[in-house]
Amino acid sequence: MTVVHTEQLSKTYRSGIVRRSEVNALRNVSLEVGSGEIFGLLGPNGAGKTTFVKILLNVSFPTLGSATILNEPLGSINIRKRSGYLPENHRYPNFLTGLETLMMFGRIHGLDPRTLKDKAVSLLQTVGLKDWAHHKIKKYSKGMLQRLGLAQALLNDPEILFLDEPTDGVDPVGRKEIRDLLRDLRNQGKTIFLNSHILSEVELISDRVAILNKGEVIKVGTVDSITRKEDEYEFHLADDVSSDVLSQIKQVYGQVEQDGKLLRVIAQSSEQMNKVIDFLRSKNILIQSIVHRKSTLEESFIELIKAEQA
Amino acid sequence: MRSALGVIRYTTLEAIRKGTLIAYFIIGTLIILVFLLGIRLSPEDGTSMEFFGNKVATREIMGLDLVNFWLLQLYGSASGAIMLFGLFGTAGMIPSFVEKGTAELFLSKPLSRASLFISRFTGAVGGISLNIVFFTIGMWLVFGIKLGVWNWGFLASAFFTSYIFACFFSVAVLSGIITQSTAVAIIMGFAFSLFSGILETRELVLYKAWDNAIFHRTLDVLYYITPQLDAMKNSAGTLIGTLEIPAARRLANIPESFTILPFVYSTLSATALYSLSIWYFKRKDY
Ligand SMILES: Nc1ncnc2c1ncn2[C@@H]1O[C@H](COP(=O)(O)OP(=O)(O)O)[C@@H](O)[C@H]1O
Ligand SMILES: [Mg+2]
Repeated sequence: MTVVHTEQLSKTYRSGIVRRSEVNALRNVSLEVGSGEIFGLLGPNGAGKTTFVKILLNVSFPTLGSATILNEPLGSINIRKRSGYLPENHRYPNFLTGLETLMMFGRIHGLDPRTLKDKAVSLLQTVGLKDWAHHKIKKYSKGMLQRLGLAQALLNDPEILFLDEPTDGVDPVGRKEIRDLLRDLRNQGKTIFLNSHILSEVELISDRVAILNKGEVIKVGTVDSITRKEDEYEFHLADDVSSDVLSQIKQVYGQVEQDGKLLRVIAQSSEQMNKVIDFLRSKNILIQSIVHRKSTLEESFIELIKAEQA
Repeated sequence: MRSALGVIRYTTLEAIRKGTLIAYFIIGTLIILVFLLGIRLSPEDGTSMEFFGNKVATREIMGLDLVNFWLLQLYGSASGAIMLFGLFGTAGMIPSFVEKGTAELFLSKPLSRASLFISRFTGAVGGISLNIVFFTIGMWLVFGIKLGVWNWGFLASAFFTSYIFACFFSVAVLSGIITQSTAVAIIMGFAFSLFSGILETRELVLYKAWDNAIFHRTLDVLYYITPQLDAMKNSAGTLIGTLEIPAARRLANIPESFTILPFVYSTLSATALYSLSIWYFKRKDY
């Protein structure tokens, strides 16, 4: 089932009365997010990620295009009823305590005050703020505020969770905790829409990602499909190969690099890669492992963005 | 409905925690206490009024009830102060609500922008009204208990003053939601309170400044399309007591008896200004 479906969503910010300026924050963004997936929207600063999520949640309005979320048309109150949202750079009222914040926003969400308290307490526990429940959030660190925001987004048991830079300002341990929590939520069947510019993290948890640059989607797919270099394999061998054998392989397969017991082969296809195996085996060389070398998402990302700019 | 109540609750708690609501209650309580302790009927004649031992007025001179006159004065100065304090206490509530990082939290909740706006407004004005009601009832009791004067018009003024404030607030709200600046909201509200006072007596002053029919009509139009603060205040004041001297009444533009008209005009213009704010709020990207 499709949870988020946008069609040619575009947003142009217009500002200035005398000297008019226009920013095309989104250009014809069409995306589909399926139920139960963790979907990462990636892009450099100013790519339009925040704008995209704001439009889905009624904070901003599209200039053109349409969208449905949970099969409800854009702007429907039911979308907001059934989603959770952690805005970027959110500012929770610092005159409240953590628990009061959850109670207050839970009420504003229309939740039943009788069951709200238990829910709020257990969520504070989940995000690791139990001991801070009765402290004014004035005293919270950036990472704690982020956890509180996450708890707030989960109050209504949302079917879809929109998180805008959720690990911003969170320490590495906290980041891991948040990732684990998100996996848990996905396993409970929730859909998670994640905005981030921290690629190494998105890589770790996203099922699929889209790369946004200057308001345009330049790539959509699984993390694997975006990062895999189709043709690079690393052979870890038990012994060094003789230069004799090496030159034989080079003759047949062209691009081969040797680094001690490591053999890096650029193969045109997996058949070719298997032929390398056959060859090595025929020479009685013991293969300990073969790694299909992937570039990191970050490398692919930078390449893609560079290619766009060229 | 639950969501809207939640926003009202949030706004009230904000006013309490940020200290404004409490500070105003304390100021109100102090003034009430001063009157409670200081005011009494003179034990000598049983009719004149004393303030901390000083005779301030006899009960009746030439058929004029001076206690009611006193209450009228009190109402006049208190309602002026309430507009100002109310403005300072609430002007920031709209801009702070639509601030980056805060707006997202509320706009993404399941209630329409119109209800969001109306409940925020209700919370802000409600807090000020609570103060007005508290102060008025307190003073009314003091005058009743200590002097035996139970002025029902004074009691009713709590409602009118709150209503006048709600109309007055429309200008600060509109400027606040458009500029997203508390300072601008306060300046505009303050400017409007001066401006509306000047318009009230335009026939006596402004008309004479420039004897031009178009100018005069423009002033009239401005007067009728903005809330008529002084006219409402003076009209409600007649329920407390009347200025018996016609010339003085004319000078201050005070009607002889209560008239509903300024309330009708002001309701229309304040509704128009609030509708404009909502219209803007519903379309704005945050
Ligand atoms: N309210 C606004 N008014 C004008 N321009 C805006 C506004 N919000 C965002 N922008 C512009 O839109 C572009 C996309 O911003 P944003 O969605 O915040 O990107 P990201 O979240 O990917 O960093 C940026 O160029 C930004 O300057
Ligand atoms: Mg962003």
